[in-house]
Amino acid sequence: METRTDLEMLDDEFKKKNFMERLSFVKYWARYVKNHDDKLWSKGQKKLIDGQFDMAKRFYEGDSEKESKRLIRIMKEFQINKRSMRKSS
Amino acid sequence: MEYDKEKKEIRTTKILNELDKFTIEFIDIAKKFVDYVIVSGYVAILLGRTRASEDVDLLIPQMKKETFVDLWEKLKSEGFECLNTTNIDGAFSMLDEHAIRFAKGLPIPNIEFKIIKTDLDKHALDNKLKVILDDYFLYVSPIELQIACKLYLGSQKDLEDAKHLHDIFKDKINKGELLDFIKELDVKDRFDLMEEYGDTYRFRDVG
Repeated sequence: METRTDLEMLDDEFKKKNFMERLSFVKYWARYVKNHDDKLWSKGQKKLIDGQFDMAKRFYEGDSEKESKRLIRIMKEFQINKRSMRKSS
Repeated sequence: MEYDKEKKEIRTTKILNELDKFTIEFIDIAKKFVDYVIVSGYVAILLGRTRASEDVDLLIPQMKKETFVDLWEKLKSEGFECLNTTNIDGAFSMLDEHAIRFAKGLPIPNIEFKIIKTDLDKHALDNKLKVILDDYFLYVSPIELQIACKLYLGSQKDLEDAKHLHDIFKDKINKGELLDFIKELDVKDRFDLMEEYGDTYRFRDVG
């Protein structure tokens, strides 16, 4: 979870340098957006954003598939146990 | 991107991403029932920032219960659902205290629906900008206010959003107004830091 950017936090040299580099890149990207056609820079933005939502979708769908398989396995085990109990009785 | 200060319009021919399309789909429904303004992170993203967000923040004026019910029913018929509750009355009461969220299918992305509370919220709605995207348009907070609010929120991500908006529009925004908001929110040190740090490293031009 991100916290407020207190100036004291930036006493950590590593964090400070990292933040400086990030802000410099933001400046560079803003210049790129200003100097290039909207259709060009937005292609890159679209790849990034759509990619993240695609991953999230696959995560949710993957989980429900995993859960269905788990339930099927449990039901099969229950059926096998029921049959063996009937045989022994 | 073209910013017409007089008309309070920004025109862009950007290729829409999934977050843009989701927002447009929701706004297309909501705008028939309520006035709105988009604030916070999505404003920077809409205008070119290279990050995603799991939500889009919307400020709306106080609604009458009947109008809220009509909006709720229409959203539901179009596949949107409230993530906080399935109860309309409960959702309407919640709006007095905090935001409620609407999503479609998956929990993200979602729209965060909030009632205007402060003078700055009201300023955002009264002075909203129209962002025109080919066949659609969306209303967003004025850039000057958005930059100052992002500085106020203060995380590294927020300062980066502020830097992006400032650098894209610095030739067009009202610098006096920006400084007024910065003073009001007491974030001058963060603004100075944002400017100083953004000048540290250089990158070569590509494309």
